[in-house]
Amino acid sequence: MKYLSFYVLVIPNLILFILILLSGFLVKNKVNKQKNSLSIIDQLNHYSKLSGINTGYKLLVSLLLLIFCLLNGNIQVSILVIFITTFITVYFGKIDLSQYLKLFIIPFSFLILSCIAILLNFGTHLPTEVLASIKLWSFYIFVTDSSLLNSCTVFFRVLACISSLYFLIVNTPVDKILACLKHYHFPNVLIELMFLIYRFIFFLWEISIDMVTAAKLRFGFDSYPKTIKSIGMIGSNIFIVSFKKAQKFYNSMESRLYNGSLNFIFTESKVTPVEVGLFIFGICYFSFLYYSFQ
Amino acid sequence: MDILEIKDLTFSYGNEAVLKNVNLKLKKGEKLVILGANGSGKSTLFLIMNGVLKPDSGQIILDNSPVKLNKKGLRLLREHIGIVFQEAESQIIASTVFNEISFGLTNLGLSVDEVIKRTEETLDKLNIQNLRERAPHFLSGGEQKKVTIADIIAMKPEIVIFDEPTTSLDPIGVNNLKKILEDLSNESKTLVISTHLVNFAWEWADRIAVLNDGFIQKVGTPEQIFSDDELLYSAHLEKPILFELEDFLITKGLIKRGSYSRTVSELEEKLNLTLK
Ligand SMILES: Nc1ncnc2c1ncn2[C@@H]1O[C@H](COP(=O)(O)OP(=O)(O)O)[C@@H](O)[C@H]1O
Ligand SMILES: [Mg+2]
Repeated sequence: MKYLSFYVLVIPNLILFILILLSGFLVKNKVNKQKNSLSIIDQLNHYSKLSGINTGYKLLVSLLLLIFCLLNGNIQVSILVIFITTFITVYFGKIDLSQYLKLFIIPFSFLILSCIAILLNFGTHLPTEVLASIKLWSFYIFVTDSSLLNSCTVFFRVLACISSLYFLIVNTPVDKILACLKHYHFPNVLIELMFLIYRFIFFLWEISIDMVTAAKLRFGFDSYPKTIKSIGMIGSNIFIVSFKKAQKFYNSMESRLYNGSLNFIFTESKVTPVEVGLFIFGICYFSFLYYSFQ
Repeated sequence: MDILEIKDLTFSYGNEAVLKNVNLKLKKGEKLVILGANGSGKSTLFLIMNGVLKPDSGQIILDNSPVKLNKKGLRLLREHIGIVFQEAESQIIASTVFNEISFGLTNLGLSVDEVIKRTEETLDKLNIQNLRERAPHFLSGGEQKKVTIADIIAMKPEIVIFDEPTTSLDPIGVNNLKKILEDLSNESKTLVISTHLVNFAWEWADRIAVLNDGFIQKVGTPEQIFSDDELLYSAHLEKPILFELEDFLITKGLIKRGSYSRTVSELEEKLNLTLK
């Protein structure tokens, strides 16, 4: 009986978790048809109906949410945050839910690996409160109550953090974010770096997709040894191609008088009273959540 | 009047000499084609003209005064000369068309109002107001080309260089490009296009410079260039179809020798005259 509330809490969450996992795989099958899932971000944030809202406002909301999620250790509250950000993005931003979920595939795969690492314990003796265990020769791999709780907490906390950042990224074109950071005197070097890295992630991604397709068409992924060989060749190729591309990119920037500071121009809309109201309400609501679930 | 002169220019990537001795003069308001096979060094020459690459030796003379390749000189060059790069993908930098076009303008140090004004003007001029909030990376090839051209002409350079602009375009795109070029030419901009397409060069150019093996082998009117069989052979170029056809018709006595026709419709008119 001691652990009842714990299971009540964990089981629905586990179901949710499995559902998300499954949807991840379902979506994944579709991704192949579309050329790439990563550059979707760059497309979505222009179509989002929320992209017109003041960037500083969104940045602040997203950062506060992020901090809140980091401080908060409660699974239900994390799920609430995930739900709220998803709802806003999908309902008010008019972003397609499946497109939005696709964005979680990549962080998801990293996250699961780390959660498994937290979940499993190794040792030669079993502690008293073990949920499950396997004996391998002379030592045990086991899961305890606290490791289960821990890994679930971490899982949802990270997911909540990611979704609060996605709230910003999916609803705001990246140069708007950078222009905003610049406005608040964020160092130029960092802004430039962020921008170029952002651009190049897409370059690399697109190049690698094309190369993999081209290699597939020439039967480069037929068997395990061939796959390994192809991947190695593609890896070194990507390096060369991206280097060349970077050079061309920089040439064209230089010839347009680029001197190390990116200046993009935006007409920012004003923050409306409704938005201010929502903001204050949000602060109160989340403070309340934070203290009542401590 | 020469607006730009390139004198004894040499350049090599590492040990590989690409430009061995290039001499070229640009006349104000002319339409010059730089004709050369792949790998003959056209793109390299442009990057040097814009101060992106530093030549091993040689001079760039802008409005009769040699340009020093220091900070001030580079700015001068880049303000006067704009390059529309071959691959739109490597030129596009911003994530909306509007911002893409304003990129160069803000780098020029113009005021925000001026930047917005000029960007709007350029959007109107190229008829791409409908694209202004779109993400340039997801536009079609023809639209992307328009955006990259807009990038450059927004900065109002006197000389506009197009590096193989027709490569990624379909026939409609090429026609649009020709219209844009005509408009620019009417504004008395000096236009330079690199290409290996002889038919395009034949139709469009006032003058042609043939770049081969690191040298400008010959500069002249399209007629002069394409009647020089030896030159064409050594530079791996073919004759334009219209030019060859007209030669053929002349030898058959169907039309009289005069100035050559640059377009199909010109040739048609001539034929109609004789057939009447
Ligand atoms: N970044 C580079 N590094 C080394 N060699 C290069 C580089 N860019 C071009 N080249 C070489 O210089 C020559 C001229 O290239 P390029 O100017 O691009 O010719 P074109 O534009 O006429 O096709 C080619 O032989 C090419 O291999
Ligand atoms: Mg080239």
